Amino acid sequence: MQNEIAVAVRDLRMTYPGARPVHALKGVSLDVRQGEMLLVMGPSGSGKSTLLSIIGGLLTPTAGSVIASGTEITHLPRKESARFRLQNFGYVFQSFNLFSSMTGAENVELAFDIRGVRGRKARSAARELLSQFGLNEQADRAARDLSGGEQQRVAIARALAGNPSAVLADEPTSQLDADNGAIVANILSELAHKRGTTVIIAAHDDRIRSVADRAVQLDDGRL
Amino acid sequence: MALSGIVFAVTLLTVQVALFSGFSNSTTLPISESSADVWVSAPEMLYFEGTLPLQYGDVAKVRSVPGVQRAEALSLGVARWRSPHDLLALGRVIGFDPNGTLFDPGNADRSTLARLREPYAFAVDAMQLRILDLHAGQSGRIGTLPAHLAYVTQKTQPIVSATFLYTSLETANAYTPSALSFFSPPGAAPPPLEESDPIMYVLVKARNPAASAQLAAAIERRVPRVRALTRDAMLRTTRDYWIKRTGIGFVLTLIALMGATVGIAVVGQILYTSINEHFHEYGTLKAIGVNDAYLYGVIALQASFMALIGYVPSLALTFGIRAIAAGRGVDILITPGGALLVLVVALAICIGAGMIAMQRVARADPALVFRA
Repeated sequence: MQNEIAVAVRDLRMTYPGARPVHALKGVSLDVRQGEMLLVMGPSGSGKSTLLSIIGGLLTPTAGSVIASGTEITHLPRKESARFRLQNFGYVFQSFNLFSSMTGAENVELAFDIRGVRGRKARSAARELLSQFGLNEQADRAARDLSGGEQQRVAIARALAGNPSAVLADEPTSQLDADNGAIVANILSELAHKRGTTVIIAAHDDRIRSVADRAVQLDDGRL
Repeated sequence: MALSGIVFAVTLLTVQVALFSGFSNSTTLPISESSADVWVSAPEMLYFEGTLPLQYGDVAKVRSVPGVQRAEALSLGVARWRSPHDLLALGRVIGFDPNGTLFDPGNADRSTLARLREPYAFAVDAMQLRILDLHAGQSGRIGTLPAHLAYVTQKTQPIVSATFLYTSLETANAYTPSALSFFSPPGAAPPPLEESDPIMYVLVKARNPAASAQLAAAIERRVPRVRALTRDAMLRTTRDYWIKRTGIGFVLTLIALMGATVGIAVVGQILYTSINEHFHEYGTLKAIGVNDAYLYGVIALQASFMALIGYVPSLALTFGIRAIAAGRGVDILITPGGALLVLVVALAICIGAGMIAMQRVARADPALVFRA
């Protein structure tokens, strides 16, 4: 499975315009294999989040290309890009980005709902996912009442609702303590190694480095 | 906070609509309380109180028209009321036949109505006693003649009119400030009406109520210089006069529109704040790949939910306000149609405000969630 190229990045350049243009990426190329767990490391401002946003189809680069699941995604029209993201990617964010007033189960159900799985089917699928991450008892609590680790596990469950081919995670452990950080790092590793999901993480966390298949260093927009 | 704001806005709207309905209903109370199918008046009639007199002899002419089952006179005059304590008030004397069946203010029973057969006896709405400076069992004067309170009615007084004093045709005729009334000997019973005595309306019961419009047309053909309107047309004519041709109707319409405008502003601000508070969550949904239509649907659902949640307590509040207002003779009428209208407007306001607030989310860059 790991021989297939899931994401191919070619000569990616990104310049944020302005009075003093910022060159966030200066020709980044890399391949990520299916089922591989790739860690993109680098100091703050090195371009990690920009790289992740472009790979995830959220940002259009100034130049270069990204081919994911066989589709060149950098210049897809807005609607098609949104559809592609919905069908192929799962996202995990530094601040979890859950709907705080909704329960953990409802947050995951929502992810099923937007993909057309509704009602009892969505409820049962959401609980099944949450149980895989040891969140049976927390499923019915409001997201704001969950610990940081629990919220991030709910967020990972939400990212998996569409059974994506790739999960993109931005600093997923930076707001967690050591124990919860390790738990989340292991869950992401299992996604790659047991489910065959491509996992691309932007972080500078040694706990993730120890479970990642490969780490690349991004400095000043260059690998 | 958001809910209380919506309750406030919807209550404002509900009260304004109910006040408007109450006013509209109040202006036509004497018509809606009558069981007449057709109202016959002078051709110049503008609304219930704004008309020129017919003659009492016209009642017999109308009664002779085929299709008329019953015809009764109704008179309407201005009176200067003098209370037992010599306080003055302006009144409207409404004369009708207490033995008749077509006009019965407050749906009094036959024995109560019979009290109006006594000379100079009258009935008045309970809310008007304070204005007349009168208590049960007391008497005042109209012009130079006595006026004895026979009984009180409920919900028979239009809010915009001078106090309605309901009495028999004969007493009403005596109260009318014509030259003859000054020659009435003190204590004498008012004389029966003569053919030339003024009345304002002939109330008609049709043999076939379903053919009231045809009967009205037949009356206009057979009786010279009269206008005949079906009950619905008479209601509409009077209501339209007050709502469309007077400042009161304009002001109440304006207030109702102001209520809706304030509602839109308040609800719009609340939803805008609420959506802004959850901007990052909506941005996350956009990043995941949710299309704008889905987001608009979510906002519309949330806005509808807020409208419904706000609507129920606002309706309860309006009923409370209605009870307070009723004690002051002000009718706040919550009809099923009015309640439905407010619900539709509340839904439209909330959904519209939500859509406007959603514009910011729709324009949001999905990549913002990776820049937090």
